[in-house]
Amino acid sequence: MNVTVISDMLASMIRIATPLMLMALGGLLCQRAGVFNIALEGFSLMGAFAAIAFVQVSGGNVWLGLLGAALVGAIYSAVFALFVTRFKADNIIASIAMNMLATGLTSYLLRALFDVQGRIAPDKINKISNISIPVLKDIPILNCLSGQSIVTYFAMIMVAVVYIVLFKTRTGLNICAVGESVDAAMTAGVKPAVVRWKVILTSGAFCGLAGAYLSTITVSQFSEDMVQGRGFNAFTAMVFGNAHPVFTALVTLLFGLADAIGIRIELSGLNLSPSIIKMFPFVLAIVALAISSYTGKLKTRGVIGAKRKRREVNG
Amino acid sequence: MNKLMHKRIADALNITVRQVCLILVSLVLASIFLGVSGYEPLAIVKGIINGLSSDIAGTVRWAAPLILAGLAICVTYKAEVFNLGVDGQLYMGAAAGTAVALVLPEGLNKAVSLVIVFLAAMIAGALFAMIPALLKVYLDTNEVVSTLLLNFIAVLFIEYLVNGPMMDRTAGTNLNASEVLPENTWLPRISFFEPSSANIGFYIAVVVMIVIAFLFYKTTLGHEIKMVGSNPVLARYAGMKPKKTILQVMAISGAIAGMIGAIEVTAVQHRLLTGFNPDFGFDGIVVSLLANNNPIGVVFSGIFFGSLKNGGINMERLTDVPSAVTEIVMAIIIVTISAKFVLPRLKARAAKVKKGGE
Repeated sequence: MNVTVISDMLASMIRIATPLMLMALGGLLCQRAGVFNIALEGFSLMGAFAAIAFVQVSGGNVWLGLLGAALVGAIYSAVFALFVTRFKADNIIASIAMNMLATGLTSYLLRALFDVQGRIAPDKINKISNISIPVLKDIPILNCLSGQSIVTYFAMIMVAVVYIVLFKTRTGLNICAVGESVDAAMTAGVKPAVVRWKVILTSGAFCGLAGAYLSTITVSQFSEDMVQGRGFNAFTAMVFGNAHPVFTALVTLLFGLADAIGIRIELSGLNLSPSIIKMFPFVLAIVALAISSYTGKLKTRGVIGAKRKRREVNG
Repeated sequence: MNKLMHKRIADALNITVRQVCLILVSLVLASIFLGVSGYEPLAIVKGIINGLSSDIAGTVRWAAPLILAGLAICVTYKAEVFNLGVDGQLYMGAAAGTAVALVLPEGLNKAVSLVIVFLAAMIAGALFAMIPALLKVYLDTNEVVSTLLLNFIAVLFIEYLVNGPMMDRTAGTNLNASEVLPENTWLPRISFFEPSSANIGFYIAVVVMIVIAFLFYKTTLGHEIKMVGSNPVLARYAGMKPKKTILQVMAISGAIAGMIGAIEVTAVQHRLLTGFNPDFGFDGIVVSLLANNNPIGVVFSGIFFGSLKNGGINMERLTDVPSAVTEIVMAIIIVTISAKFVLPRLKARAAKVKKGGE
């Protein structure tokens, strides 16, 4: 295996990890605030659809697609936020409903707005060109970091931003406080509902962007159910990363690597069924989940918090 | 005893009225939605009415898997376990059922071969449900996420089977399906409803409901399930083994899911193919929640959603309205159900205010 191959593979790892990273960051903020958000999948699907819809309507403007997708993702997540905070809905059931609604809504709107079934490729699409970083692109191996899409760099910057906000600012302190003890946070004058609204809307925008990345940058079309479980994988990455921005981002890279290796194996002509190869990231996710729950210290407080919430709500 | 009976009936009526109101609200919302996007607003209501009158056969066909899926969910829900992996277990059941049906001797008695096929499917479903259950019990792994991930593995596994070891090599075209099952493993269809694919799976679903209801209300296991669900610490003090109970409910749930797979394969498709399952598992959550996780109620809510599904499919065929609108209705229903906790809270607050005023 030579240097170019490794660098290629790392570059594709980063490409695959980008949407996961964005989704996981959204899930992480929710988790820290005690919201069990597995609606990442549905939020992203809405984003993927919205991006293509905006591109189609604007005559090929991908920038507008990305922006619109983030906006639609945030608006869609507002429904989730409304039910979870105002109506105290069970987080898991509300998440399932949001995922279901996203599947139904995108397939419905595909018919109602564009009169097509299954998939839509916009008539015209002006792809955003990748960014090449001057010095980095000439260094072997590390040149995988150059020539990525703008969304990838945005996701990486967001990892740092989320880290700083979460651990170095008052807002972050409030988020964690709400996640650990609603009562204590309220005593300290923090409004749990407001904090949760903020994190859910942010996760919606992140997921919308992640979906847009899938539909306008990875490919140039929207097809039904195109998120394909990435939201759940991102959630697992967040759990495995102990809801820590940097660790979570690294775990999404690991998942990306698993996928990238799978693609390599498929291309190498090894006689292995593509369906089996596609299972790889999911198996890895389950193993990661099992490990993180086993090593008790990595057990995220949010997960347990959500469970306690559930019992309380049902009772 | 009599008083208890009265209370139970009153509770059941109360819940029924509330859920019917919920359905009406979500149908009104969906109709408005249809109207706004330029379709006939009442299409969905017409579809349901049709599904419950002239086209009852289609409703029966869809109700069977939906009732079973609802039962699979309600068993686990009572124990505070979330089995979101019904879809995966269903696929595994279908695969095992097909594999067994294809190797059974040609001249075997139909009843015997069907029992064997169903047993294989149920065992496969239960075993697949054991993965998240064991992970939960021994490693404390969150079953919600693990079952969701396992669904994708099951779908890919079916894809692998029908493109590889189980592919129909006799077919000229590449169908991505297994060979057609021998006729002695076809689950009989209800002759009254011919030519629709309504089958005796509906009767099976009703029988399973009776078994589950008996299990809940008349057996020790049923009591344990409720105890473990409501208060695991107390259950342990009372000498119960919550871990064992969780494994048991997951096995039952997985077996029911496997049964759905067997019904779909032996009665409707007559072969294993990819994507034959329109997310019955998630629909099952809606079915169970609408029935307030009551096994008897699941039958009625299963029939309602059967008519909705059937109505949606007919609607798309006859008019221009996309059938995806049924999924939207379902999502609205479950999100409003999950918000049901608002009313008692408001009542409590009102009581508090009143008390303070005095």
